Amino acid sequence: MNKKLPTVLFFGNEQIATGISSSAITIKSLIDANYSVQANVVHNATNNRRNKKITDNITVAEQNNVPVIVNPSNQDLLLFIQQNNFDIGVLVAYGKIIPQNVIDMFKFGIINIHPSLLPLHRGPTPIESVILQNSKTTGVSVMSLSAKMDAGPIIAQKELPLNGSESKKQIAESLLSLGSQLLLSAIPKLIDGTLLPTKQIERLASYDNKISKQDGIINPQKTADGLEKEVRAYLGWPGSRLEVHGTWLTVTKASTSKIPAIKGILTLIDGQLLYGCNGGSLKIEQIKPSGKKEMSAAAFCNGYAHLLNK
Amino acid sequence: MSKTPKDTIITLPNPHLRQRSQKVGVITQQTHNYINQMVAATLDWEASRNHELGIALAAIQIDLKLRIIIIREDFEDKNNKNFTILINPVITKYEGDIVEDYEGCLSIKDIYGKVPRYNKVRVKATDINGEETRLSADGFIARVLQHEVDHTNGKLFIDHIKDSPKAFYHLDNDGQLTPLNYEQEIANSTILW
Repeated sequence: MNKKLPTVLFFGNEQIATGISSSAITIKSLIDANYSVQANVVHNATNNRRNKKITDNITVAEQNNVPVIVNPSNQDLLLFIQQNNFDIGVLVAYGKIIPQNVIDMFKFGIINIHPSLLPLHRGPTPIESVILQNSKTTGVSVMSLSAKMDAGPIIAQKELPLNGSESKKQIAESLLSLGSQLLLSAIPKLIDGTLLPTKQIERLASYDNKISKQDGIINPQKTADGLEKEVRAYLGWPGSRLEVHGTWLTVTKASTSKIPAIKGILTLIDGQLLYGCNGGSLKIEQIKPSGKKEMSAAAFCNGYAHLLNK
Repeated sequence: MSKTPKDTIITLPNPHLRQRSQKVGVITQQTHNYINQMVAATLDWEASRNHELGIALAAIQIDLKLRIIIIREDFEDKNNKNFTILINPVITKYEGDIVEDYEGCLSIKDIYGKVPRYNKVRVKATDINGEETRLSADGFIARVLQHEVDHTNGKLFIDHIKDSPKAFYHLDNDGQLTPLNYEQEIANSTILW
């Protein structure tokens, strides 16, 4: 006996603020698991940076002869789906709301990976929020997409314990690989009807706000503990930044220190690069001057001694 | 082109597919050879297909009139090439609801059917070491077992749905199923019946 593989339409765009090729990981694992991925819908073929690099999920699609559809109108998308009759849609970091009439075209709906334990942390910044709130645990949810943001019924969930030192990138990577595995094991069960999605409990829902570029500017009125969390949460984008004598510096790794330093000033004390803040100082371990490569605090102190308060 | 393992698979209208197979008496080296041929044929067939998995085979499908069936260990993972071997399988009990789902057959090219089957079965068989084994299965694997045991009795999935005009589908080149025109393509086919 033989069995037809389910046909899949993939929706994904790259570079959610984490800088991780989130949708590339998922489309690759779908193809590797022999799903018949019929097309890859994106709304932007290149990243938003100046180099206009083709995004990873498009590269994966092209290597596997999956056609790419760039930024279709809702009408075109509807027509395309009508003509092709897909079993299931998979959407990862697409960044655009899919109208209900498009979702309804799929026999088994569109499924989506969201990097939080829904209904907690709906919205665009779930990973940043668990870092800033010092959560002991987070997780990933696979859900059936609904027109209301992140409110669809849950198909599968998995927890990820946190030790309080992970960066946004590390958490995102762990959650996405967990999420891809969950998604792959859920699709067959969803299709044969042995898995029924469960509704989210609305009264437990929490929403996170968008993070703005302004949020990345290091405020010395905050505590070292809070700033260290920001360094991990804002890594990649918007970056925890401070300005010294007209040079912008992005802190990429830091810890807290009890050594008092003058608030808002970058100082070298006992061989440690410290930024004075409320109740102590932020000990900078890795730093990236604007337009330069990331470097260790020691290398920075050698090359940028003129920015330090001695 | 030289003959490859998949070319040993017989397809309709070969009349052997509608004949009952014989019980295997003793498991010999020859039996092992036959099983290896069945596995090779299934995997070689699968490699030639873009949108399908070969998940099970009965010996009659490579023209061996023996009650042997092989079933893939994992129906989702193409890279898992292990098969469970059942010799002289018999369904001892049908249970649960009757459910419809799509199935296809390596001996019936490009046609899929929505076939009603019991959701749960119990099977008695001999394993590769000659020991009696009993298993109970539900869901898709129960369907696969019914399909393969049918083969050992000369029955095909299309025989279950021959009077259902809406149960027949064609597998298109892009991996999608489209309904077939029952009157024109199925009812009076000289290949299928």
